[in-house]
Amino acid sequence: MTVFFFFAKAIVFLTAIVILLSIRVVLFNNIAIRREARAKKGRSALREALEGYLRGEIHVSVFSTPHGEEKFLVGLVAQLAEEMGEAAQKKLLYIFETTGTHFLVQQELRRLSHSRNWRTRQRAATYLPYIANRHAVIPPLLHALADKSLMVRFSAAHALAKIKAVEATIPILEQLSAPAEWPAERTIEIINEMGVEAVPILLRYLAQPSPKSEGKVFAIRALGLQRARQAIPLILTYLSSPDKELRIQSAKALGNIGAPEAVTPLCNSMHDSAWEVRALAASSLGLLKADRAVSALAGALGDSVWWVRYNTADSLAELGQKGVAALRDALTHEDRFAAEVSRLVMQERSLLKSSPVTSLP
Amino acid sequence: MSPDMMAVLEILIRIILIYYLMMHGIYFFLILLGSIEQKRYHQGIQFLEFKRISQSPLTPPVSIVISAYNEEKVIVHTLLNVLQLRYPQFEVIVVNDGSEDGTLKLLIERFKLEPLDKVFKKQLPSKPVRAVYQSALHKNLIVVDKENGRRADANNSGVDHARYPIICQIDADCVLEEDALLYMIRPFLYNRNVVAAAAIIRPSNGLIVENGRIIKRNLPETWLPLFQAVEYLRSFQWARLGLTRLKSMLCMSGAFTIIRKEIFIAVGGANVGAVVDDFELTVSLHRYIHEHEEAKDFEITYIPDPGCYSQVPETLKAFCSQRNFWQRAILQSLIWNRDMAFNSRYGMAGMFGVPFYFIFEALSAVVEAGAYIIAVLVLFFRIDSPAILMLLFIFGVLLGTLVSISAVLLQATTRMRQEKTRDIIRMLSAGFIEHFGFHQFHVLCRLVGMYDLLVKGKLAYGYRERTEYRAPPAP
Repeated sequence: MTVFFFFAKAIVFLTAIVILLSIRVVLFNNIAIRREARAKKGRSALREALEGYLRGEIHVSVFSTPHGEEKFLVGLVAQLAEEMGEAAQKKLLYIFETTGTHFLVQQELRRLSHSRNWRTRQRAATYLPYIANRHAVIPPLLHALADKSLMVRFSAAHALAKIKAVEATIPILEQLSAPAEWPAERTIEIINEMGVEAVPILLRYLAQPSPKSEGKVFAIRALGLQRARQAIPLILTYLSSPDKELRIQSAKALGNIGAPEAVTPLCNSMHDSAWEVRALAASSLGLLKADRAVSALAGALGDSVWWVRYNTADSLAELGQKGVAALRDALTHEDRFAAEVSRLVMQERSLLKSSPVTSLP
Repeated sequence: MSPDMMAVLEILIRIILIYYLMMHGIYFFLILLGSIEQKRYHQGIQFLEFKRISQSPLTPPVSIVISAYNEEKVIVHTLLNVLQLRYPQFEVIVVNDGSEDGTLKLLIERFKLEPLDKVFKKQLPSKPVRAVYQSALHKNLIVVDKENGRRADANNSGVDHARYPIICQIDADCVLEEDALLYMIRPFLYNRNVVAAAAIIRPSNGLIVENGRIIKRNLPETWLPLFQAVEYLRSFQWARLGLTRLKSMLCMSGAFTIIRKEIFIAVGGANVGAVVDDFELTVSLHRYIHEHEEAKDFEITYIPDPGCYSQVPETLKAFCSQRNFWQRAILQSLIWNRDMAFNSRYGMAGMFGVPFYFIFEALSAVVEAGAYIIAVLVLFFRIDSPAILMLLFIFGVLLGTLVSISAVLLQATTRMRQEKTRDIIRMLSAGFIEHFGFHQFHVLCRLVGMYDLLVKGKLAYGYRERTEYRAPPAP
């Protein structure tokens, strides 16, 4: 039993410590609340000064004098820049270029390249575009795209997209399309954030003879989200690619772009061997609002896959009177599946009046 | 007492003391591990991250499935709350599981439901559907009216009707933070191997809710829910987070879980034969991950952001019924999956998770009851009583108090701490007092639960009560 008595003493000792800590937490809670309130006040004062500066009421030199609130400056500038838009961001950038706060930029640059903690590097990558001009931050951010931490690479890519550094488009595609566990959507969001300026680069990338297949998929999706009309001819060629994923993304992108010249190829894709391609081609035909697609769509109402049938019916409902008429015809279709999905979509869109609920089952 | 009996008693006392030491030691370790994980989680959140997720066209759409059985007191509030979630695209599927009260009538009237001839592929076992309705006010609200079959059955039916690739299951009495779905989807966005996520649940008893929107997050006013608040803190906030780090978290609470539809179907959905589906579903997921080569990298994760609040019982009768139910659920699932225990094929879940839950969760009520009986025997037979009684008190009660208070103290050091000093004092007091009476009552309820499962084979929930949310004070 000796050993148990030893543990018992240790437990009593630990409990005493925990009780003392509890008393301390309770007693010091008011102090902590006051400290937090002071910090909040400091942040608010700095924010007010920044807002005053943005309104032209306060001169930039005010920020030269150390306030003791520099630690909040970077975060607040980023927050205000996001809230108030591009013009405000440029004006806020001027603070770091003209006052003694430039050391904060140097500090973040040092953290990005030298910190051993990936979270510190990630934070630096996130804030740099708000506090330093693009020429100063593009090279270190491009370098950070090869960071060993995926999250740092991700933040660097976002930062580059934020400042529209289109030269980073291909490095981003290549650095972020590799990891197996990394969902493609995050890379596409970043490329999409680059804006229309990235379109010519993506087109050149797609036209290369053999870029990586994943990269092509990302590029096509980004072009679709950008509604890049100049990409239509190139994307049409991928609609018949042997790679299923490329056909899927091409069918989707053509619908997003709204390419009338894609109606016939998309109607042909309604016979694709992959159901995902058929389903997305059906959706895209609905987005294109081309009533000449009605017969191709009506024929797919009896497809073997539910999603193809549903997207087809949904698109028909988008195609005006002709499409709705095709759905009405399908209500009495001998194919039960075609009739069911047509009824479902018409009810969902209130095109077929449901009988009101008069009694409960 | 004979010397042989004395020797047996002494051995039993030693076993119980070792058991207590190990149980509370592991919990203490899990709480510390959980707090480290939580810190890492919050440090990893990037600037504007949730805004970006809420605005991205590529954020995956989610089907929220709510099973409702006799929920007329709360269902409208819950739906008003859920329909206001900040999320790009989602649908809400309420499965009325053959309610006998006015749940369906209330839904039809409040949300202007219209019949819908919904076509769906039946992939999971569930009782027949009587009708499907769509709201004329909210096109993303579907109500499935089906025959009663309990929660697992209703969840399966809801998932069958879901059109999106991610399913979020919530209880009908849950209140979600506006950004709760954004918190939950985050791990799925950065790692395609994440197949399911659970999150912290907190008692909603002190919440003030107006038109489905949380106005104030107060602590529960009475002691019983407050004890449960400390328990939820210890278990949901810290221990489960620590267990997730060890890949051994076997209970994603059904009150708020998010899971990929394909994996939910792959494991056969919620088990309709289980006392309660959530524990069994989590164990099935672990089993699936370790038994399928293509699933070996899949991950179950835990979100330490307080996104969901659920009602905890406010009366001893309802509390006892709930704990009886939970005990049966855990025990049943562990018996079903006993082949996983100490089986290296199932990784940490097999080598640590299943044994831990079996020894320190399912059996703890028996050991603790044994400790109380021994204490009585020691007193009765006057066997070196002061020393042994003191040891039993220190290991059984004081150590438990130490763990509870540590959980509250750790909470006070995080960004999720209680702001008012009065609330901290109440939580600390609850952490202390719960071990004198409340905990022993809890042990008794769990013992009855074991008896109900093993002897009576009881599966039904038992007594349950719902209370309406507190309205904001009049201006």
